[in-house]
Amino acid sequence: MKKILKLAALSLAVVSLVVGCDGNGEGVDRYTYSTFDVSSPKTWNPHEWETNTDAVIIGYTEMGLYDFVLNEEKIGYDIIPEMAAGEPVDISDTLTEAERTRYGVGEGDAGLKWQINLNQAAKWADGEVINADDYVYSMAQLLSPDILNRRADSFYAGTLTLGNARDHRYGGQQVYLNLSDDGESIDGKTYFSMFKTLAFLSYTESMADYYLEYGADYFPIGVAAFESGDYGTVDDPSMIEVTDENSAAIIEIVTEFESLFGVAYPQFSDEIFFKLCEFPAFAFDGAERAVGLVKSGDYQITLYLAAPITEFYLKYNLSSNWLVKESLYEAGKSEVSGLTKTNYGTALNNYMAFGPYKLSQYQLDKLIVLEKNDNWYGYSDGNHNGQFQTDIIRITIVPEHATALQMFEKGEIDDIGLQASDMNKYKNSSNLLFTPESYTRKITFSTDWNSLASRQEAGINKTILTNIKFREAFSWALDREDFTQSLTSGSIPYVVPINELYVADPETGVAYRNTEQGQSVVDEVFGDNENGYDIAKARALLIEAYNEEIASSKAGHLVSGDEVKLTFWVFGEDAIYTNYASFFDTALKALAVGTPLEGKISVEKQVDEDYPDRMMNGGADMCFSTWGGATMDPFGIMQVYTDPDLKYEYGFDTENERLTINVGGTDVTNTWVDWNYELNDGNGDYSASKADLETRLDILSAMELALVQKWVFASIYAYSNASLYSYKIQFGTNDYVNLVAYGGIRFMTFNYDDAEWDNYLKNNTLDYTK
Amino acid sequence: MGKYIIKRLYLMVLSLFVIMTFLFILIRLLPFHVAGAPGADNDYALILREAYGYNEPILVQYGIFLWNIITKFDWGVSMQISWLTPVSKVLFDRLPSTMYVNLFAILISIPIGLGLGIFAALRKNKIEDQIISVGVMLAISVPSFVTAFLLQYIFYSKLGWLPAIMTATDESGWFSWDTIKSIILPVFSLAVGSIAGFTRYTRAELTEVLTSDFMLLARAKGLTRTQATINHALRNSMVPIFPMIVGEFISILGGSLIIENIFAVPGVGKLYLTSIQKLDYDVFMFVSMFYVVIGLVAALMVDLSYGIVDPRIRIGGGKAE
Repeated sequence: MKKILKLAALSLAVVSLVVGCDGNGEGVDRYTYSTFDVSSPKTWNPHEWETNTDAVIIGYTEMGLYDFVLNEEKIGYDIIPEMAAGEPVDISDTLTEAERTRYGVGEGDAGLKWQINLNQAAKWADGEVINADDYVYSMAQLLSPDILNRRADSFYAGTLTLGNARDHRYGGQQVYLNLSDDGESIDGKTYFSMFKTLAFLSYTESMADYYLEYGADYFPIGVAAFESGDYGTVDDPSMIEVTDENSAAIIEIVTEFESLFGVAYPQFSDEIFFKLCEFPAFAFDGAERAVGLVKSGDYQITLYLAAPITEFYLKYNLSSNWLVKESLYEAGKSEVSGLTKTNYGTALNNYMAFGPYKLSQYQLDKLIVLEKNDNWYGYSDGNHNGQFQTDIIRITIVPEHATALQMFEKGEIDDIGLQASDMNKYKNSSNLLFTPESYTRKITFSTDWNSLASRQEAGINKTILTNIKFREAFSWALDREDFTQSLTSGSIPYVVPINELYVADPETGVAYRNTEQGQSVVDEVFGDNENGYDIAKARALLIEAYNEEIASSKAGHLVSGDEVKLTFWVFGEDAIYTNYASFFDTALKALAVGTPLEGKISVEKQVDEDYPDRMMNGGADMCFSTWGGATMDPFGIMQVYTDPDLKYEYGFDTENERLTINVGGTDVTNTWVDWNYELNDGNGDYSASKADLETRLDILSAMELALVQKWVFASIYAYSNASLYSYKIQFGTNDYVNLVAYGGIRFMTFNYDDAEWDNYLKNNTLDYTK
Repeated sequence: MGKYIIKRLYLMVLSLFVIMTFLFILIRLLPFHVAGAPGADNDYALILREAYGYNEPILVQYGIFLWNIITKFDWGVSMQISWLTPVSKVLFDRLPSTMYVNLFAILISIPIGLGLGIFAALRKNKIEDQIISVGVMLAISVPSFVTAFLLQYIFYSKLGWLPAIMTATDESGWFSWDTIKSIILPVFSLAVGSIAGFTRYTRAELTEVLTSDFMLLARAKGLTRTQATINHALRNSMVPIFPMIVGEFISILGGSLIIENIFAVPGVGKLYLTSIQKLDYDVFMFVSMFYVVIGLVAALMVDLSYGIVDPRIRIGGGKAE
């Protein structure tokens, strides 16, 4: 028996020794970034990817011709050449008529022909060099009319429009195009469809989707038309020719749909009416007609564009790449009813990396492992010193948030997005990061006396909302920190409508909020009080407002003993809406303590799925309004606060109220609508092409300040997602920077290598609550 | 018996066809997934829809669908989970993980369930029986996701004894200690319900058999209590339990939607859930049919197993003479 025990002990020792001597080598520091996703990507083919999950692998394994990187000060970004050998050169002055004709080059004499030298050190992960042929082949595949890749329109539908790219992609097909698109109608007819996804509905829904979702209660005309089948069906979403017989009926359908949004969106009619165009097929590099991407040297490409583009936007568009490895792309091709498709980028063996990392392991729905790509030029070119410290990236698939959170707390994964229910526990964590979104949520007030008075009953007052001091008091009574911590998943208290994501100058990435003008708005109204909460000030304002209203002689004014009852309109009955209303109710009741309105003021929740329409038409006292998007254009957002068809603030007469702004030492007075026109319309006196940036910023900040001081809304928070990062890792910056976030994997550093981290975990319990 | 099996197989195929037809029609009536985003080409999805025959009349679509299955065993391709991968491959790739976890769950639940049931029956109305009965009631009434999260919280988060999720078998292999350790929690989460079921049935059946006249006779013949229980009572009580065991073994193929999600088991159950969430209709259709087949085969095997356990039960025979 003793012999057996000894043998067993010996075996164990040998096994331990073997296990201990793994292939990683002793004494070599290895840094692994462990993260997770909820599912595997469906494809990471750069021509087909669809979702953020699909883009995860590409983000590590590919590199654009140019890349946005955190600048030295870590408050903005630099744009550096990566797969390109230098800056793009605008050689539009060399354009010949023959080139213009062949490549479909647009009108103008600048920004239409660009030459880009390629990085000659760039290689595929298998060591093969990448040259101009790879770029041309990959673009030909991306735009192939036989493949119809999902991402093809990246090169003709946005700001970068390669000459003839769209026409080549549609080659040999008849295609319905929007009326304003370039292209000759082949039959001179106009068509209508209720099945096309619409840009202003974020391309996710069509009119038919709304009919299915909301039914005849909301769209009696549209739903009847939809159900008649006369305008196509879900299974056969055909185009309907607009004729003399049906045009009146179609206009009724469209008008009804527009009324949901309370406006005729500028692009709306263009999105639902079409023309039929035919595109003759032509080769990607045809002699008569060709796509505007040409190999002009072994390591040089030239782009011919259908519309001019600035250097910044060219580099912005080229910060993602379209390269695919020809041998694997071709090997993966198969035919589906005449359509060619490839399985490129769906498994370990049918994809080739060319960025800092390469795929080393891929188990569907389980694990993705990436390791350093030794053939990436950046590890030896001397330009990336101190970057890409991470050796291994492990992405574990963990569908359940609760499971992932436990794994984070045990040190198995290095970062995790938080949900609202997690915030209470981690709100004080030093490892909390906030990733802002462009949207700012505000409580918007109706300031129209008549509509408010019309909803009053005996002893109930609402017209006090028209008093600017009352609205200001309301704003100062809101503890935004408390609101965001208790009712959002990491959003940030915010007191002004344009948040930090808006970039004043795309070339440098400087946020509007960080400019002198942007900062002055906050300083002037709120000073250091970024929470915008000051109950003493609020009460003083409330008393003043009360006295003014009591002294008013207008019909329906507040009289002593009246109760102020305000309704807060929300989308549904969900608990979160009740909580919002309850927060405002509590805040107002606290505000009124010690004032004549103590115990006589309340906020009540009211539900209407169409509450924006109600608010815009004066049927509501208050509601939430949220605007965001187009972060590269902070000036453009003024449209939603000034356009009578878009703004929520009923009673704020932007067409007639005038605003005086000192522009370059001269006072200029315009209506709010006109100020928006002057700033944002191409013909406006202060548009981007006519005024310098400083002047435009002066105007924007003056408009924003005046808006805030009108108190027709009170900004409450800027949307933001909270996440935690582990003690193991460190981001390039903990302050979010537009376009580069926290610096990404490029600037990620480690406080512990893998062995040290394992050791730390053995001897310590992680606590992320402090 | 042969005739009976043939008849059942015929009925099975018929049921399968009817269910498949209904499923196909219902799925094809759903709106096609035309996801889009700024910068993405939305026409592409509609063109693909046409290429895959979605614009044909529904009967024509069904004809194409059946023809592809019969001639090529082609059930379509995944459009949302694994781009253009045949759905059969999408499912069969995930089958091993499901079978692996379920097999362990059954191997644990049968002996434990039977053992506890026998013990409870033998100690009927004693404290041990009452404790077991309470445990069984708890195991049956507490939803599996609660049990799973509880086990995960205790054994992973608090005690740190076991991993939170199943490890990647591509990395550690199927039979390494790391992998086996990582499936203990999902296996037990799955087994809890089965153990409770086996325990309850075994206890009920055995309790009844133990009070039968033939047991009295067996004891009167001089058999010890153990001999009588094992040789006579247990065998007789197995008549309703054995088919349960057969059914459990067949269900090895079908994954648990909830448990696989919580423990990140890359199996069939998780795939089914994902196909619903991502509107991957062909995958949903194939996995649904896979579950239907499992259900029908399990029902057939259970019926047949009655005759094996108790030769007195004759299935499909004519009227007794």
